[in-house]
Amino acid sequence: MIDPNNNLTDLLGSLPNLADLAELYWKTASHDIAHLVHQASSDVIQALQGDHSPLGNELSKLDVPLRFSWRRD
Amino acid sequence: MIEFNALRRLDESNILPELRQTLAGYIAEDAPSAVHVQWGGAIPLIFKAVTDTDEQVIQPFASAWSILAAFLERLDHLEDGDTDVLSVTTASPVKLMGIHYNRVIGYFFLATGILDLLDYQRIPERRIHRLRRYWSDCLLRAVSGQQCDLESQLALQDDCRLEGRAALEAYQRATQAKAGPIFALAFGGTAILATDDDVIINALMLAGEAYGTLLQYGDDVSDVDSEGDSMLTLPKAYSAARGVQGLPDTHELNSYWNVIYTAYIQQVERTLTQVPIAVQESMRSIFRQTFECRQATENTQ
Repeated sequence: MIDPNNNLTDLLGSLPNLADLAELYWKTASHDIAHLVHQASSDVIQALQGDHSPLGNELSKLDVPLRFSWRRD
Repeated sequence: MIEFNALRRLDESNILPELRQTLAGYIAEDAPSAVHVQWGGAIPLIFKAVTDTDEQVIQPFASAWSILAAFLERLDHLEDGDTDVLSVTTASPVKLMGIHYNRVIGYFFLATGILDLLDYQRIPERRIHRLRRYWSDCLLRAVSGQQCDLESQLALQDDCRLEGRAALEAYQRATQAKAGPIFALAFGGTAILATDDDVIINALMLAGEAYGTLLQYGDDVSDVDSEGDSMLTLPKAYSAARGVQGLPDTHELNSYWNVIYTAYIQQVERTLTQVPIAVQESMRSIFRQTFECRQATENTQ
């Protein structure tokens, strides 16, 4: 029989690290925005300032789609 | 079934009426919630998926775990000072808190006592012994996580605020420790009673750890405006980490939550590839029922 303690210890490091996920998220989002700024900086700036231009709408799609919701019964 | 098992253990224990009445009231209040997957309803589903046999045999464990979860909820309220009894009597607050803690501790002993209803004729003794040890290990770890969380609240009150990655890492350390083991116990404990296959047992322990941790993360995200200043919550840890990066403090928690959820589900999926299809499907169903109701609803429309 495997010692449950050992199993648990092995598992503890197995869940993804929140800080790593946050940095990956920021890095990806920053890269996408930088690419758009390089392509059309004025439109992006307008979008960032709240202009609802087509590019602004595209920019809003950069966010990860809100696919999951949350509930407690 | 939970009421039946819990009341049976109360009656068998020759308990005095002062406590029996209170615990019977707790049981009546808490038992209806146990049909939901996050309050114990997952346990029969998992057992059925692993064994393809009668779920009746797992009911004592489902009842024990559900009372345990209800006990933890009540303890949490007590630790937060969330009780209205202090206002309806003239007794000293210290005495009243003692009465409340004693009642809740009685509820914990009842949860543990329900494990005695596990049927040694239908479950091998070695599995029950292993479950009891895992039960203790998980609870000790959960209590250590709660202690860490409570002490971090003191540190925040003393303005010892964490910054950068340290905030998220401290938050994850405490949250995973206090919430993960409770569901590792539910899912992994069911597997321990159902099989001797360590691949299945380990996979369900990990799935439970991820499930419980995500529950707490999700609570923090959905309660972003209701937590007191003294709590280190996911939104606060995220904001502290983001500030050090020189990034603006924007309201993007839902997007970050999606990143977290996706990464955790992928980790669980990788582990589940080693277990039978029926077990995989039961776990997916449990996660989906809890976390993906909007997506599921949209897909069926």
